Amino acid sequence: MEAAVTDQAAGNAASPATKAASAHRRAFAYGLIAFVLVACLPLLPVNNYILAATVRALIFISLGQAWNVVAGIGGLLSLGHGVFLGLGCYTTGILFNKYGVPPWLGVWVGVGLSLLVALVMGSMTLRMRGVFFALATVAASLAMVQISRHFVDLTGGADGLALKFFGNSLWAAQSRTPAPFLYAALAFVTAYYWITRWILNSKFGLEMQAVRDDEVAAAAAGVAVFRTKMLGLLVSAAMTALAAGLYMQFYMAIDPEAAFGLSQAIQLQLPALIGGLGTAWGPIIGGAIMIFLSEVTNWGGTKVGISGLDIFVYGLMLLAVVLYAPKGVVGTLLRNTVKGSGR
Amino acid sequence: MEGVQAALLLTLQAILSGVLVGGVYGVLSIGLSLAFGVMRIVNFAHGELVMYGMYAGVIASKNFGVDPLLILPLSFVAMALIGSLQYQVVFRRFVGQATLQQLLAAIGCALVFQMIAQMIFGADTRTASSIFSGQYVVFGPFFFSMPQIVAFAIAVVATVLVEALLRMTVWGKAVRAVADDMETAELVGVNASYINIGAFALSAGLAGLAGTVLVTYFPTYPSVGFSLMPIIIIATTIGGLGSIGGTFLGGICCGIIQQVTAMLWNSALQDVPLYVLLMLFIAFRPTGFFGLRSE
Amino acid sequence: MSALALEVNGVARNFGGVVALRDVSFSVREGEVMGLIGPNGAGKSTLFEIISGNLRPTAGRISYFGKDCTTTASHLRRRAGMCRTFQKVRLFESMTVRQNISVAASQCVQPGRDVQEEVVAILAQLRLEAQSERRPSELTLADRKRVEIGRAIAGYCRLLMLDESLSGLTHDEAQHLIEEILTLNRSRGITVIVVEHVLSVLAAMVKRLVVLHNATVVADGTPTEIAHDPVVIEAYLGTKQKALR
Repeated sequence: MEAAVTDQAAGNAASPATKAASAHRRAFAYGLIAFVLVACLPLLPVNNYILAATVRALIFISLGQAWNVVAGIGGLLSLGHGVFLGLGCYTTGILFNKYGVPPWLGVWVGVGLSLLVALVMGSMTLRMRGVFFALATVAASLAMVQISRHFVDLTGGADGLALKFFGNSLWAAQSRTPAPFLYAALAFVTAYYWITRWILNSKFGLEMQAVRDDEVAAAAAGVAVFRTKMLGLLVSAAMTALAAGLYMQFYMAIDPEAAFGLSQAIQLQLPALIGGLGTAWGPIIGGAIMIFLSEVTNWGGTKVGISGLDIFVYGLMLLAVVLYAPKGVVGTLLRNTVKGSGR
Repeated sequence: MEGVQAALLLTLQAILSGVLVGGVYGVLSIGLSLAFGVMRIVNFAHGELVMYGMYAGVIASKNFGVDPLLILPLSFVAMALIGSLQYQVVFRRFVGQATLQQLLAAIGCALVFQMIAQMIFGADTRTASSIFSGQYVVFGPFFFSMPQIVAFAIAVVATVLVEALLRMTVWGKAVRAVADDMETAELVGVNASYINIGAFALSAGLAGLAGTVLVTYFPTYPSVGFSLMPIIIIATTIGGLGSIGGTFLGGICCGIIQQVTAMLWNSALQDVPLYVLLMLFIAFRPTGFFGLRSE
Repeated sequence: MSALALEVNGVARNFGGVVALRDVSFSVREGEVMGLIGPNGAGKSTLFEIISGNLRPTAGRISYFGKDCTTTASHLRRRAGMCRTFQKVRLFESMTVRQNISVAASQCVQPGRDVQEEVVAILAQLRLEAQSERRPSELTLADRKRVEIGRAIAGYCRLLMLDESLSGLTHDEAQHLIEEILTLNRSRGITVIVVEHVLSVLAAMVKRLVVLHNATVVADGTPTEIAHDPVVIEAYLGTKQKALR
């Protein structure tokens, strides 16, 4: 039950294993503190805006964690992961509004649909070079934008879909206050963290990383490359679609742009990119940094009269990370850590 | 009989309009194709360079009363300079390998460019007017928008000039040598770094020029780049990354398919067949019809 | 008569109009240490990729211990014990040495055997225990090559194909590597095919050489025979400078 973080004692005489172990314990302690703090937030006298912002951040992080599986561990840059977000949201929403299916069930249909789409997309594009896979995912999500705009009766068209409001209702998974969503989102982030760690330490995770590092060498080591990529994509798609259920219930509405749009898809990637691709802590730290910067920038932006300034900051951060710190915050800090897996 | 004839005429009209529009899609895309062919760089911010070209046309037309078509050379040069800057700062280290890092860096550029445009020009949709605006030409049973015809003509000329540049000039041959095999080209004395920045500048300049031409009939807004990128990507993939003529023809294909879909089915879904086509090409023929063999 | 580890039968490969391989045939007996040489451009790499499964031949068959594997996927060939190294060492840079070997071990380990035990055994065999927690970027070239070989033989290996594995090494390093490979051949019975384009390097190591030139086999015999074969001499004479780099 450990997580790894930085190893600062370069000149330390202790063995690498001991160094790593103490770093693990420290990180786990920090994580536990953060978890408890967030869990206690609703009990403190903070206003609803902060609670809602925390929920937004946690949902955003969990989507980033899902993307991290296929992109960070697997090395497949999915630019259009919004496809799964949108499918999850719309499926849950349509089944609820039109057929009264509670979201607790509806979300699984969304997951199933996403898996199907992932299977089709994957079989067509995963044998190609990474760049083409990335472009194919863009094409798929943009096609979904147009399709969801067109079938107005089903999806509400360009205006999108809004869930029928039921007030505080467990059955409808709705609430007037952000508090329940905070716990749900926290559960997601924690669960996804453990899932990521489990993958990293498993044979499957090793295969994915081998394929990421060098496909040809991986095949020469006996790894079934295509199957590994496909599995990574399927897991990631399922995780995204599941988190999409939570997304839908919290925001109570979705529209084609927010679901499938390129801007949204790009934002999904930033937590892992900034925090550290392929690490378990990466999306969490990256997401936290992003939300913080985003709130600050938007606040500053409204003072100066410019909206959407956070997109600008995202772009700068993306450039900065890619050009100067490709391993992200966590990755760069980890450079000195001895143990490779279980981050 | 009349119904069939009418349908046929409409289809033909759609095809011809598609060719016109497609020519412009083509010239929008040849820059991207060039950058990939020579340096294996996928400039995801290419659409933003087009967007700046479009704004240039708007400024010329609305602030200075000058027809956008007259400032084409200016557009070209301005964007070529911005492109060179982008290359030096961001892309230079990624030359030779179409890596995912490079794609991400390009996306970062795109976001930054978009926001800068929004801060300078505002978020509203803007249009430009040229002397041809609003005019229509009638050929028998068909009618075409004059700005589109002019745009198409310019697109063809630009493409031909670029092809000529690449095939007949010394510089062009050097560019093709580098595109083929950078190491060998350097061995025979070609300075690959100069060629690369020059090729990228050309690619950016073409984007700007195409944008200025496009804005004579298509409105612009800060994120128009993202809206245009899909078509640009599809045109380059169908035609072949790295082939100028091929990409131009790819653009025409896109235009035709788009217009025919809009007419036969629904204009809101006009791009869907294109996306399907893109997926099919990626799955079965990623090098397009004429493209270079991708490593 | 020992089994045939590998049979290459009438293999040909075109790339568009270019003929890379033309009617290439030879076989390798189990336990043999064979060299495959030829000047640059002779088709060695193409042949190598076809045998290891990354390229399909335009014509011909490949048989591995009696079973046709011409269309078998490369990772399945590896799991069946047909292993290879790369001309430019390709390790998993984000992983430790131990993990590099674990990847192969976990994919190819035989039923009933423990993956961890196998990894430990490989690390011991190739004297990599001290470096097991290091990343490839921290190792010398010689060590990286040993890791690659370790990964290549982990789990299960009956045929080991080395792609110009000695290039870039000093004379001493190359000697050590050759000894290690020959030890693997003797102690584990692994058949070895070494691809090189420098003749002298192989002479001490192999008992048999197959020479490729202009897309086809031009000679097949002992190093002494090959060294005196006029066809081979002529093939190398024109590129003598490069070959003896």
